[in-house]
Amino acid sequence: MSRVASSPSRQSAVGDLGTSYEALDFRFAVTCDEPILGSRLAALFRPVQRAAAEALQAARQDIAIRRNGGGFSIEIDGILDPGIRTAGEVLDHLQWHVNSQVIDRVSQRGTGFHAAALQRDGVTLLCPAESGSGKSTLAAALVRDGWTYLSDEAVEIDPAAGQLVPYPKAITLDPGAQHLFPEVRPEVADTQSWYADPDAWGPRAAYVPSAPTVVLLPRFALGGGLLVDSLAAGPALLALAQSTFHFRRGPERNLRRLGRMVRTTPVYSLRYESLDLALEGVRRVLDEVGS
Amino acid sequence: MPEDLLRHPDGVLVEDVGDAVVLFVPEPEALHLLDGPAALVWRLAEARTMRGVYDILVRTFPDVSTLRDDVEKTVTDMLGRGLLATQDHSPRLR
Repeated sequence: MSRVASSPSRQSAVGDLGTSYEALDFRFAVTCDEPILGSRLAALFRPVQRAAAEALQAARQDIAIRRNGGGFSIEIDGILDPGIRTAGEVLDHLQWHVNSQVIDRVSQRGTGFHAAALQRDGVTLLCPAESGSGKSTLAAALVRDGWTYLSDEAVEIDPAAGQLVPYPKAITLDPGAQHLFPEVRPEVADTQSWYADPDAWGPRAAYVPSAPTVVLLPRFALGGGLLVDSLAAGPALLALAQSTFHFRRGPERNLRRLGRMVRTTPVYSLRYESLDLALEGVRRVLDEVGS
Repeated sequence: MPEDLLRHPDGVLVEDVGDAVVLFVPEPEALHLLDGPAALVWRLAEARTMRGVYDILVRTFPDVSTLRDDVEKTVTDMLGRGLLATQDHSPRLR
């Protein structure tokens, strides 16, 4: 297998070329010796694909997928990952692996949030929330509604200006949310989650680097109706700390950055029981902050 | 009221967010939110005794009949949680 970075203008099947990617400074390349799975991997990681010229220069983690009996094995930087996986399991595992690497690196060097983030009409929305809260579902709904996508999983805070640095991975739609987005149903449904290309809903305005203008803490709650509350700075800081990746790896820098954020940015909690109510809640918050 | 001089412990990170103070205590690692009266007490406690803190607060809240007990309870609680220490002593942790 050759490893040559491809031009992002080519929709390369990873089966014939190694392709390089970058997710919040985590650089990796993927090769696969089975073309159909290779194409699916290329589609999965397309949103974080790197330009060829940059890819050739950067150090990166090499991920190789090889046919092994009736399944596939994964090798990372020459080390065999235990287990034989189906094609769907390879996709699930690699998305998890890349997310883990991103989180680990961000938390070592700076401040990052487990969060969705989007932008529209000068408003940059940061939605920190734990897994299962519905933030990916909310992100998908907002992208469908015309918002520019930054991430459904993680963003880093640029230490100089407090701007959000995006991780625009494929949007992960869990089984409980998939029925809400039939338009992005995958052709092959062998993964636990759907991985929706953010561009599937059409082109959006390019992200203009910005600090968050509103922080929204979403939480899906069946039977909970819609509840929007403004948070005081103290509780807001605690809530943000809970969504900060490995807060304890850099408590001083994280505390300072969160403190600066809650002193300058309005923070709301949003509890909702349906997607329509979530969008209504977002509109209410934007009305309240005058956007 | 005990006469020990109080202090903010070494190694505790402080972020003042207006009405509230958020503290990161390294041992055991935890974030603590102090708002309202608790934040006031904590801010005043550096280099003062419990009585000294009370004497300042009673000028602001002269009509709070339970103020003395409230201050003593709050300071004792903070000493127990490692949010305050006494001078020349380690923080008394539960």
